[in-house]
Amino acid sequence: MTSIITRLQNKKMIYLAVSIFLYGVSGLDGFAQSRVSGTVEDESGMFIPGVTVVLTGTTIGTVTDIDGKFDITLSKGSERLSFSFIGYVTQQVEVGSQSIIGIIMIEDSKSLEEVVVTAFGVQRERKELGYTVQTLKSEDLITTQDNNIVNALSGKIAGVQVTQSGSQIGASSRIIIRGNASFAGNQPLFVVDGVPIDNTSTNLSGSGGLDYGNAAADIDPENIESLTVLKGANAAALYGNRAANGVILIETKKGQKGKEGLGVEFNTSMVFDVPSYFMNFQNDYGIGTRGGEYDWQQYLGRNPSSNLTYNEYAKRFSYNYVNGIGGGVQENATSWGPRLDAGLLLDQWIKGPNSPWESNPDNINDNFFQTQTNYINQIAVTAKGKEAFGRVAFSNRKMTGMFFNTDQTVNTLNANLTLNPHEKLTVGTNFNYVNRQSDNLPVVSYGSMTKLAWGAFRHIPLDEVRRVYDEFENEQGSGYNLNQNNFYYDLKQTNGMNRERFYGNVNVAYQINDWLTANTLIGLDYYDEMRKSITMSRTRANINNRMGGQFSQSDQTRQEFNTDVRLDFNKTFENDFSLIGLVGGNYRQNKFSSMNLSAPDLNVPNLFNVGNAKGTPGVGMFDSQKENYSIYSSATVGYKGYLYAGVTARNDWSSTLPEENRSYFYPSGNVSVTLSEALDIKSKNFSHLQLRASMARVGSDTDPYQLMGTYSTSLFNNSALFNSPAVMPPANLRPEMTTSMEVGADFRFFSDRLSIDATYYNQVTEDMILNVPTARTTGFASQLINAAKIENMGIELIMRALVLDIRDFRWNTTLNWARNTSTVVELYGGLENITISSGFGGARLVGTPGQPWGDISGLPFVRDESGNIKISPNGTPMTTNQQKILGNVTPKWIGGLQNLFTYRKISLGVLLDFRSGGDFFSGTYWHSYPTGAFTNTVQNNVRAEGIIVEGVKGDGSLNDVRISAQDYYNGAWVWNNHEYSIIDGSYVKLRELTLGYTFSIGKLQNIAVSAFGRNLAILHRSAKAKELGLDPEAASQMGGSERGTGFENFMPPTTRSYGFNLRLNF
Amino acid sequence: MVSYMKNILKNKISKLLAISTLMIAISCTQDWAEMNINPNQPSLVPASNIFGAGLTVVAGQLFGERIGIYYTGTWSGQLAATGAGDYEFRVDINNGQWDNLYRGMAYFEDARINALTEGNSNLAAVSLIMKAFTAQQVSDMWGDIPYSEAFKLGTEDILNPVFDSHEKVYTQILSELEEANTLLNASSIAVGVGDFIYAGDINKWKKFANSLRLRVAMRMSLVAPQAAAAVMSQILGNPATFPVFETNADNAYLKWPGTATNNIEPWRQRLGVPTNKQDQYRTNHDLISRLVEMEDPRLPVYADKNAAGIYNGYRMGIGQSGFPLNAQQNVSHIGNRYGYDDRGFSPFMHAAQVWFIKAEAYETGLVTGGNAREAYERGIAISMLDNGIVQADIDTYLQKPGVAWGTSSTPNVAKIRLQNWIGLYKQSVEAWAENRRTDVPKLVNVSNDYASNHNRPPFRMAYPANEIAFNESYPNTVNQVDIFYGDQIWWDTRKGVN
Repeated sequence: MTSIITRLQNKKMIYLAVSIFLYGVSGLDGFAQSRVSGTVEDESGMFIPGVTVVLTGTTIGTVTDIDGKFDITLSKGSERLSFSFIGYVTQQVEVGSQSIIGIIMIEDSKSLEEVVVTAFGVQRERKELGYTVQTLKSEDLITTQDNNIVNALSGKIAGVQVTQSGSQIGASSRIIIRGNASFAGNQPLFVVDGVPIDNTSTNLSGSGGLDYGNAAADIDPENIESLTVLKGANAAALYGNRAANGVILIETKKGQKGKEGLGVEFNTSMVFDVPSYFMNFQNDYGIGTRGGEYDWQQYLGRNPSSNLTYNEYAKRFSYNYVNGIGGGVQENATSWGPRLDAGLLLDQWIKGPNSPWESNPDNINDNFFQTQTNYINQIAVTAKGKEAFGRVAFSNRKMTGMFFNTDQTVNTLNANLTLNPHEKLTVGTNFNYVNRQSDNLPVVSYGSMTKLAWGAFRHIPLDEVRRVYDEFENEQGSGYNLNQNNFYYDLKQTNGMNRERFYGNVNVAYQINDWLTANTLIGLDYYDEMRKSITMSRTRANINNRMGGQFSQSDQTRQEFNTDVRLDFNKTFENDFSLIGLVGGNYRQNKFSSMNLSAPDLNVPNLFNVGNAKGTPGVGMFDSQKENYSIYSSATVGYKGYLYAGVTARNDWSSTLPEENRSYFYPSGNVSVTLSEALDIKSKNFSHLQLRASMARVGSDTDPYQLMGTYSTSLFNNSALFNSPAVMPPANLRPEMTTSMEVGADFRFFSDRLSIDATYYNQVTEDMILNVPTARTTGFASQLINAAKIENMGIELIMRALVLDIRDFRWNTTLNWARNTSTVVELYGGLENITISSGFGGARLVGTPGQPWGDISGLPFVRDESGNIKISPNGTPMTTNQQKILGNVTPKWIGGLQNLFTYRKISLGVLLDFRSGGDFFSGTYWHSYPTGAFTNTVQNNVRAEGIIVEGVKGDGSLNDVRISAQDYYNGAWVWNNHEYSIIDGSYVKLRELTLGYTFSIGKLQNIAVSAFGRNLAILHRSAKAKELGLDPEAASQMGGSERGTGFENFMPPTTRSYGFNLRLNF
Repeated sequence: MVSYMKNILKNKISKLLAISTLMIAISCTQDWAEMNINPNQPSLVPASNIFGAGLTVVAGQLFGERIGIYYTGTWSGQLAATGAGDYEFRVDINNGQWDNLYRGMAYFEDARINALTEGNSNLAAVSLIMKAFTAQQVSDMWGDIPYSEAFKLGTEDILNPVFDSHEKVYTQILSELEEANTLLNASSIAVGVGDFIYAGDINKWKKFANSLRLRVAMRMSLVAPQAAAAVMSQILGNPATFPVFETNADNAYLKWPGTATNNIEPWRQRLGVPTNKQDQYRTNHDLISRLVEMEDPRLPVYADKNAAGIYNGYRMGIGQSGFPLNAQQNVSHIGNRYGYDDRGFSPFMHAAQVWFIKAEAYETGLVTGGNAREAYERGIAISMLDNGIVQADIDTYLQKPGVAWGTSSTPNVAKIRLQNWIGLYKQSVEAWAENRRTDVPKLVNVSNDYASNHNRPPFRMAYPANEIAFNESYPNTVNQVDIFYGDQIWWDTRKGVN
């Protein structure tokens, strides 16, 4: 905040100084003979004040005024004007006979990168820093109009891993910087204009559920001026105990860039998310059991006297529909029935007796999903005057989902005001109100999407199921099965939410003298979220149980309050030294409370009010509170503009730690030297070399109420049940400590047209406060202790190049690449491993000493010494109950490649995003075998010919037992094996493609239109992911937290997004 | 003013700021002790309510559908899950079964300690009984288990409780039950609200403790006959000191209130409503065929007729999912009393079993002085009465070949064992244990996936992954074959089984 004001003041001062000087100079040349005037604006159509306009080769010149206008009187014969401004490419213009000149300044991406935002919003030059930060501008975040700000970071920052958990409305995205440093809570801290913003993410487990999103998605990308990533503890140490995972610093648009008086920004977008990556369902065999030709032949073999035709066999033993409630043959079995499209005639639902047994390709694609739409509109008004400036914006995001009856609307009101009532006093406020509302969010999980595989058998026409729903709602069940809910009726069981959020701050800065400023900032992030889930009275279960429906409703509020008092100093001494720094204190309070109600049954059906509850309603409440005090300081000494050495120090007091360990101190230090200047080795080809190094420590605490064991309560026959504590409370808990070191270098060549920035880091988290599982035989399920040590080290590379710059054509490219190696160094008391997530179906996510973070542990194939799979006498793989590590979720490396082509006012952006390695356990793949619904269970004609499973028998000889495909794919062994469902999550994606054009019509000077696409193509994925039709990115994450990392479970299809955007400024 | 401020700020402000923040921090942190008291949950509660929580945890797990029907229910030959993968082992479910039973025992131990603090020795005694009861069920499923060092992380800092031999567990259970019998005193403080089994009737708790001791002794009687006989003689010889179950009024049944969602009987909760039976959990051919053959009047209580109007249990064996009689509509559902009653019961132990234990003890000569036939017939009658069978039908049944005492070539001891097994319907862990001990009836129909390798249902539950991972005392010498097979447990003396 302060920094922006400082910057503004600096700009003003430059403007003043330059204009006084130039006016003075120009005044001397009073005998000019021609006048040239015009305006200068940037690419987005914002007028730029303070641009220096100089007659080339002279000192004659002026600067643009607050509206970007200039007016210069030239002596005859003058030919060229030069326009220059910090952060923009200097332009030369032939004057010729023109008297009015319009100039569009193009931002200089290289030099803009030079000024970066650091902790507490302090603007520094990159060369002053001994650690890495990386910045995105407004355009980088809004070009493809993703509703979740986190997604806009994909591929754009080295070392930042963004995993979008799905394409459905409200889906969480998980973001981690420099790998996982903890077993829970690895996401960075979000700070908007100096105020920490909650990013609580839905912590879905491996079985999935209802994703309410990640709370940072409430930050409207349209209001962001810049986003800076402070990677790891080195850059973020000043933010204290939540900074170990890095900080995402966001500065909002404040209106100071606008023209004097009234300004209006208008933006409208439409984005269509088209479901595109479907699972590969098979269309060869229908519902039933033992319906393959092989099974028929086996039957004939066992019954030599029988001469049943395939059709007769199928009807008698495999599948025949009578009433949908068990009256027929295998009416509700899985997709192991007779071959489709082979001329068979069977009794079927809807079609009637002896109807053609035919496939239904695209059944699910066409009848279950629809194109998801997003309409985004924003209007912002800016105003600027001498003593104040500001911006007020309103935006509306309206979405309808790919699942029928799902939607979400987000309204954001944002106001930024800055007052300068006195030349030394600045008072500002940033106010945000966000309302996120949804009548129904989709449930994505084992429980819901599975129905498509288990229940929507390959021959059932879903359009007919829909027709049954339209006519009978749920009275006929799914239509073909009276005891199963109609799929479309299930979408009436809604899960609504309404979040009202306020966040913002009030800040006061007083400039004590030219090098000292006092700041106060009071910030609040508060939200109230109501969730309501209902179950309608006519579900099959409620019909059977004669119940009137159920509901649950919860209301939760979360609040963080911060007060900072700070002194900033920035002084340059005459003897080549400079000093910049700050000293301050912080008080932070976090509160959470929730209340929930639920009704097990309702008197009046479908009246979802607790007063209407039948029986005892479920009730609950939870409150928690936590406080922190901190003092902190930092100081950096500079020498001759090429050598900088800085230190920071912070001491925290945490309410949640035991009294004796409440206070903890941690320092950091960094040094940076611009060798090219220090040694004066700068040349055109080798234009810049900076080396940097830093070392930092950050301490951290834990959640409230962990120090004492408590009993949870439930009821039995109106008596209270007290459940003994499951967690053994800690005896002497210490704060956890993260120690981080990094070294880096910034090389630039060819007048900075090519730059390579390389960083190596090593971060160790020790004394990690963990809920460590104990054997249940100890009497407890876990104990809270300082239990683990994790090390992350890695390399980050950022390569930028201006590949082509021919006349009006420019090609910029940026490559971000990072490799992180995490190691669980040790665990408490020689633990074999620690469960990070209980995962799904027995496949768990664990941390194993000596291994990278996030091993997937599960049941393996039993193999002999040479690695052959051992096969039981019954022809299926042998099983074991000894779990093994089957894969690891941590990618080998990640990165993004950004290309931007500009030609005059046309721009084309292409972003590729890639990840190498990182496994996941696919719940869908796991079930693809037993359901028989997917293409992998019909490959190689196995249902007609049977299968000899590859492997060796007990005596070591090659397996030669031919069995039915159903005995293999639907055998009991599949439930005792997770290895076959581990999938490599590597991918290359065409993440963003944008085509933009800027033009003017009359008074509307800068109309920007663009067409864009997101996630247009998965250019590469592993063979197994392709086989099943999985998007490896969404498949490797459920919800937004660790519990869902590395697990996929009947995910909805990933979409391709197509969008159009129009921007007006006037 | 401004210049004065400026001066202060310039020279002093950093120090002031630091000091004042520090002062605020220190003064405010004194309130933190109070702020850290959890406002949501208590840390000190009445022991009786902890005991009650333990009862519901153990009942929900032991008499829930996974252990009760899917695993030990199938292995006992009484129940079945239709469809493939009948013995399917799932890591997380397996962890849950072990963890919940140990959780229940931890609650009983916590209740016992708290009861002693409260001065309630009756509550301490019943807590001990329930812990011992659960330990027998757990050790009968898994064999060697942590027991003597279990539940002591909080008190003695034991993080890796040692695995006691099955025999040692039995010894401890026997002495705990004896201790509980001694502690119980009807004139002392009442057990309190948590006694959902006997509502505070101390004499019935005494009977439960001693009946359980008899059962433990009988279970080990083939491997440790002398020790078993000593226990049995002590109890049966001193009925005043050691009363045991006699009638169904003594049965240790936990009856579910059937009110809210989580207070409905667990099988019913899983299986659905009686008017619309759809679940795949059904009855087993091994039980149903025997009941049909003996024209057992309990049959309509235990099972329903199938769609074709006959009693037909699910058949195990190679190709089982292809048998036409195994198709969903052809397999008998579980009867309403056991599976489809909101206010149904969880049978911890019943009187009939005590009569059969006596009968076997007298018949085999473990204990002298009793009448085996009388005990046998009392056992049958009490089991019948418990199932609502009228006396006339009982009398007819007692005359049937295969039932009547002393007739046919079947030895009486096999009849006792068979009747005990039939009576243990829904006490699946017991039924499976008795079947492994006696091999009566002989169950040779093994689930399809295991049938080619094995001639009997599983011998043991597999140790759960969590215990193996977190308890360093886990003996890595355990021999588990095909997950559920390997070494027979201590009291399983059958020969020629695999």
